[in-house]
Amino acid sequence: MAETAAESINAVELVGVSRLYQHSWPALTDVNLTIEKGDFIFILGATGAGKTTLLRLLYRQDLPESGKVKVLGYDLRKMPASEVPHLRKRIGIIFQDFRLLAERTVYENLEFVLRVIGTNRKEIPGRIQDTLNRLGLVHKKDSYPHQLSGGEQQKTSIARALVKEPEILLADEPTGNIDPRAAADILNILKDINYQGATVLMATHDADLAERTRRRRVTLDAGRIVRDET
Amino acid sequence: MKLSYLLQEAFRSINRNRGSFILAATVQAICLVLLSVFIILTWNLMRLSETASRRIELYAFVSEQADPAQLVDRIGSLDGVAQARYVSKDEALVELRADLGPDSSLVNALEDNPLPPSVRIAVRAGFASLSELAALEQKALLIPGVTEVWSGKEMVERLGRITRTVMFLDIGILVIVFCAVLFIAFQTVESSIASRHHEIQIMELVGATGTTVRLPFVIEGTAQGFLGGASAFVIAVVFHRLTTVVIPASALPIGPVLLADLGLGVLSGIVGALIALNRIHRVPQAETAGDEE
Repeated sequence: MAETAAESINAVELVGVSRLYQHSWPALTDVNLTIEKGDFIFILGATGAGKTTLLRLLYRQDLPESGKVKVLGYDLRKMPASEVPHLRKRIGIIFQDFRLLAERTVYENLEFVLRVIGTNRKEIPGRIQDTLNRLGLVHKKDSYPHQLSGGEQQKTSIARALVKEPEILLADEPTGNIDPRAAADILNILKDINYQGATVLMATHDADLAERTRRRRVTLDAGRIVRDET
Repeated sequence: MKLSYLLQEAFRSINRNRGSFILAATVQAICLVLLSVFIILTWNLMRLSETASRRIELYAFVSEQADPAQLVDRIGSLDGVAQARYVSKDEALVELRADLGPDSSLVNALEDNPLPPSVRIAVRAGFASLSELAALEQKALLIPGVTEVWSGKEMVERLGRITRTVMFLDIGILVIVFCAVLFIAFQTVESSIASRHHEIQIMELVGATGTTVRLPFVIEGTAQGFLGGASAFVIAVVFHRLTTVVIPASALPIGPVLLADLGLGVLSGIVGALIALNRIHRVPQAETAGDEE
């Protein structure tokens, strides 16, 4: 299913992708987008522009009606459901609403991910410790999500995505539910992750934030790419 | 994925929903006890029927003038006869007195012995079908000196009918109980899945395999079925012990009851969990426009 390393130079490749909801409403129309490995890209657009749909296609939560979706060399339209876990192990996903497990501590939220993807038990404490150090969350490792601020919850969510060492990080409005200072902090963390080698796609409606960062910006409007600026 | 972790996750989920888990296992146990009672009943009826068939004895009443030795010889040579024994009028009266016990004084009031002499016929083992008994009865009637034959085939026939009816009932109860325990297992796992929907979603998004996501629920369903089945077995054994006070000869078919309780309990747990997973596990996959920004 996956191409060889030599062939696969792009992290993401969308060709003529269209996605209709309820068979009529176009969520995405004829989207063409190529993202190289190691890129940091903002997906901009107002609510309903198709940002979340685009991300959902990339982690194969959804499939397009037409077009080609390739992620890390996998052709997602041809990918059998049994292979989806292989793709998702290589992708980290961050949501606006954090989606942390409320009855588990910060440490346990990270441990849960590593255990369910079958990481060697001996490696787990070290990887969690490294990730918490990187995000400055060591002192919160025994806290439950409800004991954390919005920014700390989002950092935990990033830590959870990061602990499995993903090649691509998909962030869906990661700064949407937190204050501007925490948002700047989160953005710096994402930039650092990108600097370490991961491809980062961040969907946001905050065009100012994206502009200040001076990275590639792809703007969606009513499901179409209307701007692609570097 | 290590089995220990899957077990840990399953028991974590059981502990979280222990109230509904125990309640569901109890209801399953009650259903399975009902089945066990019917199995015990059927087993004993079959035993009774078999014993009655084995011990069946025909009575050929004969005239007082007939030669006893000749009658015994001729009847004894009939197909299916294991033994033929002549019982004189006097012997029959002694037997009657013994049977009546304390009421035997009633017999003393009789001026004459009204009992006819007879030949008691014991049939060969395995020779107790209704048609065989009927044929033997007819052949015995043809022998000169035989006035009447009582074969007891009506009793065998009635016992056979009761056993067959109870066996049909058993099958019906088995089907109903299986559907009931299956539904209970399905409901428990369904609510467990619903309460862990968020966790399942995270597991799927981070790349957990289908087995990793599903197996804890199957373990949960199996554990519930096992608990329900084991409880039902214990209750059935206690029930049987209590009934032996009234019916000392009743037997407990340990194997069939254990198999029915544990087998059906565990099977329903596994199948119920798989049905629930197939119905509910698709929910995250089915999310479409509802999740749009």
